[in-house]
Amino acid sequence: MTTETQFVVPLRGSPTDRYRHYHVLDQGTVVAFAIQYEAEIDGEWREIVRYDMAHGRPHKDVSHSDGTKTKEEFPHYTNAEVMTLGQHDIRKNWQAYREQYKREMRRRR
Amino acid sequence: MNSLFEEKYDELFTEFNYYVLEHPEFAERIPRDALVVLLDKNDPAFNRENLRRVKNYLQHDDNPDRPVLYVQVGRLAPVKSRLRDLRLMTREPGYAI
Repeated sequence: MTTETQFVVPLRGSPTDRYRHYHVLDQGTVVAFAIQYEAEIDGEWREIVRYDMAHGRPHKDVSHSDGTKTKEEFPHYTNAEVMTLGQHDIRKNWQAYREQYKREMRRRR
Repeated sequence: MNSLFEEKYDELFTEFNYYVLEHPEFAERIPRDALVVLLDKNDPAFNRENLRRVKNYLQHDDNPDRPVLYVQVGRLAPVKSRLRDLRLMTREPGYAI
């Protein structure tokens, strides 16, 4: 049985910060996923941190205000492990990621 | 109130993410792209604060048609270790050197 799940949750009930979740389970195994931290900054919702699978390999992207991304791969982890790791990272550090992005925006002005 | 609310919120958020992975028949019932709101029937103060914050969030949401799904948390089971297959050793194993 294959199931697809997609939802959002405000982070700590913040009106301008949310966790977006997507995963596909096939016979109990995570075969696809994408989780991300999104922030509303200057009236616009932006993807700030994302964990997903590209070309079948789980990885992390941190978005920068200039449009570039910093990538990190996890070669020895399963999809489910990276998804869990990403959930913990987003839950613990979303405020720091938000501040970092805003600092980058200020430097560019 | 703030830090107690936020600690509980984080705990429920973490446990909900585990739950949807472990219970696909439950996860299937979540409307696509829904806003999930976690509630505890036994904690009215938490619920009041969470619903207040959700109202605030919905004023910022970029999807005015997003379905809202209220999830009543039944019980939290006692915490159990996830460690498996532990071994006790009196010398450093070769792989750790």
